[in-house]
Amino acid sequence: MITFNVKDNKQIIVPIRFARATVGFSTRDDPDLDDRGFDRGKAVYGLSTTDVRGPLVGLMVNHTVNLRVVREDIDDTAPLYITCTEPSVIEILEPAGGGPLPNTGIFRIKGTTSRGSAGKVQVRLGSTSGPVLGELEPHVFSRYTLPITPHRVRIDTATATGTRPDVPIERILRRVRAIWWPCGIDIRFDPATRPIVDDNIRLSTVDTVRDPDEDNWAEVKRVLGLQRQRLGLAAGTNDQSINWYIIHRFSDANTVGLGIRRQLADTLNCDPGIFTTANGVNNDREIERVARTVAHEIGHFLTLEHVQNRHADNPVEDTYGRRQLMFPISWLPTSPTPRTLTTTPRVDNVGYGQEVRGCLLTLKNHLKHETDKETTLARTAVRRGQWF
Amino acid sequence: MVLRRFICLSILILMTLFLGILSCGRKEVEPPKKKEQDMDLQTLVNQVKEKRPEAQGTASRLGQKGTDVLVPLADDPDPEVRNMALICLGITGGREASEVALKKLKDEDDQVVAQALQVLFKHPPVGMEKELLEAYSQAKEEAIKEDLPLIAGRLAPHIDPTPWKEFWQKETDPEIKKSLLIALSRMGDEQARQEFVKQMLESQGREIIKWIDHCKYMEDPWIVPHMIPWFNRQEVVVYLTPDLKNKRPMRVVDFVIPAVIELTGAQVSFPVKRTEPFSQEEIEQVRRIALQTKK
Repeated sequence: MITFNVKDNKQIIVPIRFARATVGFSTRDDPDLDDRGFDRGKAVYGLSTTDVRGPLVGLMVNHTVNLRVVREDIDDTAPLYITCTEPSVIEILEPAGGGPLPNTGIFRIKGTTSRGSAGKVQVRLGSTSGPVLGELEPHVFSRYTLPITPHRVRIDTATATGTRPDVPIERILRRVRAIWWPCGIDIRFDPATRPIVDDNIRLSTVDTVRDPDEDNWAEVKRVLGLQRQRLGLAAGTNDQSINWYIIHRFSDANTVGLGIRRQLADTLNCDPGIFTTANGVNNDREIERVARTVAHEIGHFLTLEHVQNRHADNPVEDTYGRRQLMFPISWLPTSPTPRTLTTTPRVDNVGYGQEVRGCLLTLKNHLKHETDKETTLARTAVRRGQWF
Repeated sequence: MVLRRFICLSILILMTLFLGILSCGRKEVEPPKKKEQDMDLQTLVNQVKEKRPEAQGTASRLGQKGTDVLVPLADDPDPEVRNMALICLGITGGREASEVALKKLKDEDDQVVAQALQVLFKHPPVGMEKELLEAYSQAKEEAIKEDLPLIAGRLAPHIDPTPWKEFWQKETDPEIKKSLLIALSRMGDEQARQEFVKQMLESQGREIIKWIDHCKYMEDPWIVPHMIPWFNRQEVVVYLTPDLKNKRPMRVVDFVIPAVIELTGAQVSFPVKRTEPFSQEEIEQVRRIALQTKK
């Protein structure tokens, strides 16, 4: 039942591994797993630990998710069962009674409380008391809600009236919400309390905001001030919302998104906010790209940096790095052909579509990784109010 | 005699009439103001109940006058209403805001607890040191244990560091112990200050940025001379605009300079809030200020 394929007198046997239950764009029910190595790295403050050697996964409290068991060195008919070590925290909903697992390998679990350790989820052979073939460590997070306020900004000049940019806001924000959901962070668009705001502003060029790379922040700052002006906030008080400004374009057409996080906003003496451009956002691929951009900028808001602090001019080339939301480029640079064992990057699809950056937010804290434990860092930023 | 009585009576009548007119006049001026304020208070209550962001602006306008109506909303059954009430209490402030925030540390909703901690950071609970200690002792959540010492530290010099020092000496969790160390340093404990300086100078990479923030938390120039070695740190630790072509790299020293200026209140000849690194000349100007600052 378990395949041995010994070469040079050795083989590491991996009967099973865990994976996302789906491929393609993020969904709330199918979280990505932090499966970067068997080791869990350095201890992460606030994250309970087990002796697990396997992936970690984040769960929003009281939300049922799908996960998948992939058979590697074991045949397709071997009966597999799912168990957990903390049944008071993790409920196994499907398969009923823990198994046997269906052919799809998909099982459903729910974290019922964010208090205390969630222990381990294990895959066993033959029965719920059979030998353990693989295990993962779930972490159940309480819900932190971050409201988001979309603004459609019409940019006029002294002589011309602009047009209002239009993108499918609800669809984009559903995807953004799905990306952050496994961290226990609910990016909430609630039209009843924070409806879409139609702003009008007069700038130097119709439908255009001057690109800050020209080192002119004045126009960006004026747009960022719209929400403060609308709410009548006093100095020293900040709107506790992510304000997302949709514009037609920047003066540099290559700039399609811009995030002004708290640190930069303090330096510029303005409010934080996210800009995305609407030009060309008229197909599924572009709509998903905007969603990833907004989610990525929210990552910067929540104090996250680019993977390994390497930016668009020198991004990491490993597959895991390219699968992370904080990879600096939305469209993956293509891998060289012909491929060899030493060429990098090695693949063009990291599970989210061809040449599409992934949306993984890490839980592990590897020793030589400069920008790890992203989930914990983001949650700390929310708790401490470091994002608005 | 009769004439005198008549005159006195006339004066009395005139005065009464005059005062009456005055008070009538006042009635005409005062009610609209009070009415306006009452309306604002009612608006605030409605906005909080509806979880509308405009509540923040209304709270901003009302200031401490808004605190009273917000207090009961912090006990609303809906955690999102409680959260919004606390956001607004953070804006209006006042003793009652801190009192409510202290109580809300026991709320069942984690986000409400986080919001309560933010209110306490903004409005440290003056005169409630005992309650703070109690909250710290009873807290089970690491997040609360980590934040409460820093809130207590903000009460310095009007706080006794002794019980906090005991906690520091007994604590084994590294993050909570660090918070206690930072708070005690602000409270003026000499042993803690020595350890603070040792740890801050040992920090590397992006950790230094956090330690610069801890230095700013001191709100006292005693720490400034200890920051002098950082003036030579030229390594880039943060990119202000990592997604743009010009990423605006910032070195350790670019964070140290504004911190020293903030802590000393010194005047300098160049703009401090900026997106470009400081020149060597500007660095030397601030280094001289730091060298003249007493420990």
